[in-house]
Amino acid sequence: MKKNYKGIRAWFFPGFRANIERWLFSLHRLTGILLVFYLSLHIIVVGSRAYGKDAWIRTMKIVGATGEGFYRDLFIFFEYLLVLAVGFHAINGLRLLITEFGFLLGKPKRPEYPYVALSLKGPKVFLYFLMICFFIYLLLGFKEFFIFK
Amino acid sequence: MKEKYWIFHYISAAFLFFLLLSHIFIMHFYKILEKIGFYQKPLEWETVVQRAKSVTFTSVYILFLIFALFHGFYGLKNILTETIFGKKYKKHITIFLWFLGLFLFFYGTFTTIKAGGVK
Repeated sequence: MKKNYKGIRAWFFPGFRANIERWLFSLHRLTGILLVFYLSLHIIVVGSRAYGKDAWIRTMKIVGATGEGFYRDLFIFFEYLLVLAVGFHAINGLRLLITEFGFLLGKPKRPEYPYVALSLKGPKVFLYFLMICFFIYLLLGFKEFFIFK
Repeated sequence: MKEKYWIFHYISAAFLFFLLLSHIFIMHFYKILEKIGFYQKPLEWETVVQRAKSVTFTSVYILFLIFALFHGFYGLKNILTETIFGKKYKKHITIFLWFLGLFLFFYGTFTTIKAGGVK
């Protein structure tokens, strides 16, 4: 018999038959791991401001936060991805927080055909609302990074 | 104790939701903010010094470090210790992440306070 174990791969790729919450779980994990690594580097990089103006300017130039050219464009692209990762993790995190403490959860009712879990309607509507918020945030970010000069 | 960590993970998440999104808007959405009348260049040295000298910003940065590092490293520990490898080396992983987290916290706090004295 085949073991029901997909290993680490399933953390990030739950499979096409997985529901939306399962995909959000995977994305939440992936963005979380990326953000921990980014945070560690970020603390080291911005720490350069404690060593004076020259150190700050030099560090910003090295990482591509200032200046021009291909390297700078690449930095902007990754900065946009970072902003998206933060936004997604925060917005989905808010959903998890609300769900964990049972807010928006309806009263359970006797299951009747077509057997829709009515008590879960609130969290589901909230999920769609948050995804719309994220979409607006995504567009705002796009405007900030690629349209406004 | 485990429950306390888990509760703090959620408390820090609630604080981070506001802190992090404010941080993102101030530091990364400055062109949009400029359009609505809040002009600032977040990476320019004068602005950096101005923030570093502000007691409010310094306090928020240190709070930020506590919440973000705890939330991030506790989350990472939970993810890693779910694996077969992680279960086997749970203690080592926990100690390593505590050590790394504390190092980043002290370094971050040191540079945040020291930056308040630069010219």
